[in-house]
Amino acid sequence: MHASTEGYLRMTLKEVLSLRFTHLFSGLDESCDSDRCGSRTTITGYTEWLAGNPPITIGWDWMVTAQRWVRVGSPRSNVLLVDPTERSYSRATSEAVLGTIVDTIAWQEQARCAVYNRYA
Amino acid sequence: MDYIAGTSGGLSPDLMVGLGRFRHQVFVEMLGWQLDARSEGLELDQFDRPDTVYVIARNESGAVTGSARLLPTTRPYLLGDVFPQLLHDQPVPESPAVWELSRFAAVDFTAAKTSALPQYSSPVAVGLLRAAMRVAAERGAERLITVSPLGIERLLRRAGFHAHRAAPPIIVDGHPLFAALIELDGSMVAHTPQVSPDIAAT
Repeated sequence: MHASTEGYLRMTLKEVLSLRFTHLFSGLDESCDSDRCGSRTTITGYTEWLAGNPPITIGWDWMVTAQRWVRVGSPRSNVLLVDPTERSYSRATSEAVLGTIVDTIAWQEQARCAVYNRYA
Repeated sequence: MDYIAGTSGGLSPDLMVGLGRFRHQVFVEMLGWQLDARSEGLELDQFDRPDTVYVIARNESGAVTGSARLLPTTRPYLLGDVFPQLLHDQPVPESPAVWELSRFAAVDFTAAKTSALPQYSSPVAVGLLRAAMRVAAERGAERLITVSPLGIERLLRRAGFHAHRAAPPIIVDGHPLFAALIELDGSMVAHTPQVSPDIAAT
């Protein structure tokens, strides 16, 4: 892993997979800025997770649909994935792969509890 | 809509007063930020210096509808001096290639309905940000860094900007804030509005 001049932490997939992400905070969308806003019975929000030092940050949007918490869109992160020769993947590819990684995290219950504690 | 850029010495006194009043309306009166006002009804702080570069949007009637403040990171700036914790012990940028964007807002108070929330999503906001990117690029910037509410990251990306977080967000006064980096891609800067000096100041 190394920091780049663009402010990314460049990491290989193997390095990212070795991390243990912990929940930082979660919240509800506070503004009506999304296409989903106004949709009846749709609850949307975000969740933020953290790992490593220097800190690796990753956050993504979620929505509750049919009582299931599902990720919406690509995650946002300070990580840019590189291949074993340290050549960067495109941002879109990197984010797509990070999305598959966060889908392996059991984030739903922690996000739900955090939202409940913050707003209840 | 026109965009004007310059330092305080290159902008007319009337426009500087209009800018200070606009910022007070947005950040103090609308958003409720606890900011020190140097003068009643005008929002200016220690980063409003002679070398500070402003980009201002005005509507057809001449009212200020947008503001952006650009500071080189080689001199004191908001993130470095007030919010270094947003970088979580990483060194704060200090480079002529990195400029800070702050006090960014696009609100037309003459419109029937106004909101400061979609700061980066309205057409005026997108135009203003592109104008600020152009002005910064002309001064040697390759990227902008800005202290922003977390939701701005999503809006920037949705608007097509190459933006990403520099470090994890933190909660400040109940609201998640983060340090955002906005890359000044050549194609993005090329499609920016024309930015003029303030002819009233000459």
